[in-house]
Amino acid sequence: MTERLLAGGWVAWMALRAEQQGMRTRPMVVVVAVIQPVALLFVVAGTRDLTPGEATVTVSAVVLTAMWSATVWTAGGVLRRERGYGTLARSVTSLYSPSLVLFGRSLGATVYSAVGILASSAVVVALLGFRFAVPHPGWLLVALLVVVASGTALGMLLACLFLVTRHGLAWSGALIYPVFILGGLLIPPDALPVWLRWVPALLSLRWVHEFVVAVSGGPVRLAPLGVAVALTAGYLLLAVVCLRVAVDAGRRKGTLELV
Amino acid sequence: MSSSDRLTGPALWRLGETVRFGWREFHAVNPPSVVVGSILPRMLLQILFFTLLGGVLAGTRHQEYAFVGGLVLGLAMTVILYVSQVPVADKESGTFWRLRTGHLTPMVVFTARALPYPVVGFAVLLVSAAVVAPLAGLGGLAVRLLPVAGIYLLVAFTAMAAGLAAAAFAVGRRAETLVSNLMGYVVLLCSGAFLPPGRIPALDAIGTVVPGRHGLAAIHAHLRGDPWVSGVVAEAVVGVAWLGAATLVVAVQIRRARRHGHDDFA
Repeated sequence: MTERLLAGGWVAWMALRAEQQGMRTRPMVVVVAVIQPVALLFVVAGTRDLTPGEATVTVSAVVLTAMWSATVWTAGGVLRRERGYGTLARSVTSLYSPSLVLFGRSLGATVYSAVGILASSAVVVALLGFRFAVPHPGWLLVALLVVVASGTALGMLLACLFLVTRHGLAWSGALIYPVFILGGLLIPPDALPVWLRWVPALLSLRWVHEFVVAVSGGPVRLAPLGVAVALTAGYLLLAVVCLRVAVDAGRRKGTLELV
Repeated sequence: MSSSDRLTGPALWRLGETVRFGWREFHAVNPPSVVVGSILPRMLLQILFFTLLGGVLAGTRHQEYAFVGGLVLGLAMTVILYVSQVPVADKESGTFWRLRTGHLTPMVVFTARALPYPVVGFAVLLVSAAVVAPLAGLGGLAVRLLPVAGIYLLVAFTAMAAGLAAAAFAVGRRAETLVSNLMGYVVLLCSGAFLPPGRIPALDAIGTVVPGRHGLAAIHAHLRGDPWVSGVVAEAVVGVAWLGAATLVVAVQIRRARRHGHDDFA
């Protein structure tokens, strides 16, 4: 049992390392993990003066919005790129579970993107001289871990979606702005039409944002973070099932690399 | 016209054929399904996002400001990003040497082939504006913008020139995605489309040479009832300057290609 766990951990670690090495050569990573959060922060913070509490909420909204973009373009594109490189079949038909390989790659992409987004946001925050309210740093760290877990699970789910279509690149571009508008981050849910206000509740990142908003202005409320964790578990489960179905169908029809 | 006539024929005929080829090339790379299914929704949602964000951050007046600027953003960012397809096509097809040895100079060929991008971008913008304006409750403002719709078309051409310069600069290193996106975000930050001029001086300084900045100032002047022609002239000058920059970049690439003996923008 221990040996299997160690082997699984080693496979996930190798997948993570491989993904991160590949990301160093991809210009889109710089766009979504550096340029976009910097631009959004300047735009949002430059429009009006922010109190320390508002600054925390604004930075949280921008970081999580950038995380969505990064998830779509990096973690979400893992299997699409594998197909492009001609290595998809080897990745999903090896001795180890395809889900494990995808998990490692998605985690690697998410961690790499998160580091870029946080670092570039920190530079802008310093440049703009934001005064920050960080009343519960420990809980913010927990929230960050939930974001990474959520990004990883969402990335796996999107990667499976892009596996069953030949238009993955077009879908990537198409998925960005709907979530910018309906994700409940920079545009709060109460600014949406009533009949659309249920949509943000489906996005785990929006619940993390609600947790940060609560923490920055008062006591710790764990319920939003709990919902984010539950949604993350749901994404992960759905991704594992979708991947299994997609790979099985691809192998049966002989179309794994040909969609 | 015989084949010998065509070899020695007038430059205008060659230019016309290049423009015609540019349309066919655009149609092949961006068929109607891509324009309607991908480019239109993206531009439409981009404009809607910035319009709503303006209202959320600073109220109704800034929402109106963000709508006027969002149209410039959606147009300029799309044209800058997509026009890089023109030099990329030569890079990927290994046909740059044929441009270098042709009768028309490479920059003229690039520009002629790039013409569909601002024209189609402008058409997509009109549809996007017609959808976003009622959704955001800004139908009246959209109608007031109709007399100056031509300024948006001018911005589309300025963005085309800037996009060509950025792409020609970067395509050799396969960095056109990075540089074109970077140029798009510079427009977002410095054009005054979302952030009104005067907030961050460094961005204002860069903004004077950014596509859309002067055109947008002219549009806002028109809405206030002020004189706006000087803004249009300044936007046109910026466009010509970007075209000059693109010509310079392509000339340098040609010189490097001759010196190093390669033909792919490397």
